Amino acid sequence: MKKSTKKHIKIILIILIIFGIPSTISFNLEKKVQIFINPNLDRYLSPNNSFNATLEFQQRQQVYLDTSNNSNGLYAQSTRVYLGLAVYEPVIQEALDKVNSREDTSDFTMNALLRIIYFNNITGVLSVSLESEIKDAILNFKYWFTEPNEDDMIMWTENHMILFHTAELLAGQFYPNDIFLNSGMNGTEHVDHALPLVNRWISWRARFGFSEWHSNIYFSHDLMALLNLVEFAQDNDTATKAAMIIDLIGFDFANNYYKGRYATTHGRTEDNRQFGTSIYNLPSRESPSEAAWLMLGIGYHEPSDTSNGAAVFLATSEKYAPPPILEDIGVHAILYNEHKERSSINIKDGPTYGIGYTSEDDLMFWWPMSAPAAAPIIDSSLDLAEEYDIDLGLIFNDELLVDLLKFGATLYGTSLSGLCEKVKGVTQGVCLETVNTYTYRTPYYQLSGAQDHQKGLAGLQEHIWQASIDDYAVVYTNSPGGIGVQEFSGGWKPRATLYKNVGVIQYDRLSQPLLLEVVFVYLGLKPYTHAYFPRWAFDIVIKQGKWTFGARGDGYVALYSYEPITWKSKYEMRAFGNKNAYIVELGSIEDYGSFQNFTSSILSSKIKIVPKSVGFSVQYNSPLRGKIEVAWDGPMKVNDQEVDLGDYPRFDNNYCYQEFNTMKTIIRFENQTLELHFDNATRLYYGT
Amino acid sequence: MKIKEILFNLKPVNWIKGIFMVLIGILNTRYTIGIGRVASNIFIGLPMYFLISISMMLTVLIFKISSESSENNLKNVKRIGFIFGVVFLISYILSIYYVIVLSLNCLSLILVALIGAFLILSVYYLRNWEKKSLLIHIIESLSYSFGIIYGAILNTIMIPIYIFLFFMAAFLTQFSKDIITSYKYLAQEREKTELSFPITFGVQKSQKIAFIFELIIIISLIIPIFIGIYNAIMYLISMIFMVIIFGVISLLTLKLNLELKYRRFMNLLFKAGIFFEILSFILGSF
Repeated sequence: MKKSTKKHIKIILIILIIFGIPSTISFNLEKKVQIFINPNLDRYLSPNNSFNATLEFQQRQQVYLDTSNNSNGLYAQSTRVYLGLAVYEPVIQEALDKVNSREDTSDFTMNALLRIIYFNNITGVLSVSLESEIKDAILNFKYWFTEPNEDDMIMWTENHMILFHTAELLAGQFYPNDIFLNSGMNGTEHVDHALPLVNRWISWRARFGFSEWHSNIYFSHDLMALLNLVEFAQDNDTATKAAMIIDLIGFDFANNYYKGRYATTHGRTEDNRQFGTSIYNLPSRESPSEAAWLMLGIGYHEPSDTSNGAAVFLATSEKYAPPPILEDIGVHAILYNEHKERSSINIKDGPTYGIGYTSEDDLMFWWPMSAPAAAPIIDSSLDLAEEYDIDLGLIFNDELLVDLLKFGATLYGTSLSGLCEKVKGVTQGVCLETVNTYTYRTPYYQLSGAQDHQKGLAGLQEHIWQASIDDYAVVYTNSPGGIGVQEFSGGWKPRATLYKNVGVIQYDRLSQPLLLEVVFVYLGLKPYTHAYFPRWAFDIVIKQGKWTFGARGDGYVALYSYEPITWKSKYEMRAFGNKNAYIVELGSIEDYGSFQNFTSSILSSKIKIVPKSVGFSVQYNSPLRGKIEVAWDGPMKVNDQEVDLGDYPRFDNNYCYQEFNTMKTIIRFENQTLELHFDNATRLYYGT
Repeated sequence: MKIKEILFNLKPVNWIKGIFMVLIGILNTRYTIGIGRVASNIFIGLPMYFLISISMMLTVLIFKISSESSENNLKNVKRIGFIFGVVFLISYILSIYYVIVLSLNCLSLILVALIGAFLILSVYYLRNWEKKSLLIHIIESLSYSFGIIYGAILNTIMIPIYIFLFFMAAFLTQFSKDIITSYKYLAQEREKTELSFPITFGVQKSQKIAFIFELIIIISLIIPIFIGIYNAIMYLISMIFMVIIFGVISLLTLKLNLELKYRRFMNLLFKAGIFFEILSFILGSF
């Protein structure tokens, strides 16, 4: 065969690969993508300080109710009772068994049962025997760890906490004069106990946001509790404040949802939500997605998601409706958005905010942040556990951890607290401390992440950054290991620094005491960093040297790895070693004209990365942004100007500016204003 | 000198001990260093120092065969000098490469260069020095103990004082052990008119020097507990054994007349001392 013939064959093959495969993929993808329902902006508004649900919200509620009422799922039974339909009893029996045996997550179930029993009070569809069984379960339940008797329930993560408090409040309200067998208190006493706890939780969220920031799992559970409060809490202030927290969640959705995904950093997530291996095995639908669609019309409705707790509670909500301004922002922000947000506080800053480290009240602030083993808190945590005979495994994930810490303290000749300080790479790393999240969105892509968050510390469920072109064409990196068991979330946290469409993500960590290093090895040595880059989700993927490029539609992404990186599978690339620097840059047809121009511009850009004792010194000349400089410590600079990496205000974007640790949120868009005054429980909406 | 003898004089155990010391140096200075750099330093530092340690022992071999009168193929200063040159050059080139590629601190490279210069100059000028036994003991001891400084320098230029104390203890342990071991061959060496340390510096005086060294070792091993070693408790456990062992050694060194009778168990005590030294340096880094 002649040389020129060979050359021609090569060219044809390349063309086939470039155009053939992506077309096949996109064809298949099109088949999978759901119908997007764009909200119609016409709506009926009531004057001045109140508003009715928009027609679109009501329509979405109806759409959801129409599919949910056929479901045999537990949450969907609230729909059925709400609509006056007979329930599917086996699933309720199953729920009762769970609640009666006080299994973990019984609080989720209890909130569903309470919603059912409240609705049944109006529709009366439950049989007398079933109603009686539910009543018995409610009266027998353990609503807080201060009550006696054993259980297997984690009560103190952020979402569990509000679910338990809400359950106690609503149960107490419903049966005010009945004696609750586990506690020996009557319903009214339970209300008195739960109400301040509910308000404490709401107040913390108002001041500091969610420590389980942007969680694509637990926001759904938070919404369930909050919607139950809005619907059924007899204390108007509490119901109003709960509605205001839901508004803030809605505002979060509007700012961070991109297409159908909660395409941002998450404080707590799970691998199955974060990666898909092929078009036949897509990432799971995120729990709040149905709620985001219901509330604001963003994303899409998935007809098979019929028993989603948050969605069911929203669809059956008569008292909560999203303020129209949030729906409008949801639509407006689709095209462009630059959003900064700060959530949670650092452990060391507790006293600044009036939160100590010793009292039960203090611990109930720290435990939801996964901080029971943090140096200033560990001793009080163990005291409280002893006082109420709480299973240490429920507080620390594994009782063995406490034994190990005690052994370590002896080995190092220090106190337990001293040891926790020594191993803060883990004990502090797992705490969901202050996070400054940044989201930059154009019509073609979104880059979002946690700026410079706990670099080099070991996490559990965090997802630090991601670049998204559509629902599935998503790129992010991770360094698994430490005490995390997941591959694509948790692990060693990088120093992620983002500026508009460019990000520099450095992975490294300080050495830990050898005892801890041995534990890491025991838990599974993972000497690599890796990138999720699903080839199946892009029209085209090109790897050239240390750069990997992807295009989907008119959006482009480029990922650079300092260490040599190779394909491990059709969705994962791996680089050896726990130290690595990645650069990500996003682009679009609008910026570059074509994918080819994008790749050639990026390839010709100058990069200088120098490894340092810890981390790197990175210099990158972005084709769009110019000279970008950042190291492991110090600022990120773009054309010699410092980039704001935090601390951010509570919210900072085109719609809202709110200082951190304040109790008033004012959101403005065009001629609409939403004022949320948590101090006096006032929710004001002005619009025309 | 036969192959077995050459290997005996090259002391491969010292090469192994040397890389252990590099590891100890790295582990005891790692807390302010990223895990990536620590891993690189272990992967690079250990083999590099292995080569440096071999170079040092080749120098010692050159010193030793220079005094021999017999001739054979193996006893060839030029050939051994060439091997030394090649081994050292490899380690030096690798040092340059890693300093540039991984931007390790330049001090590690300067240190390798200084070691090279010292070895070459000493071979060149002091090969026939009548007190070269001193030099032999110094180089032999350095081949093992200097690893700890080298390991620490790979990590940081801010070397903690306890690293120098560890080095001092390790260096003097090896030195003292070599002096005491020299008494074993005292009679043979006198017949051969070889200039071992006791012969060069005096039999009684050498024993006193070894005793002073042993006292310094004990002090050097105790002080680190009070100056910020990573894990003082675990270090203490092993250190107690060390202090007892070196206490016994120093008493024996003071009381015994090694010229009249060499005591084999002293060598065993030294070996135990070195074992506990390495163990405690590692435990101290926990």
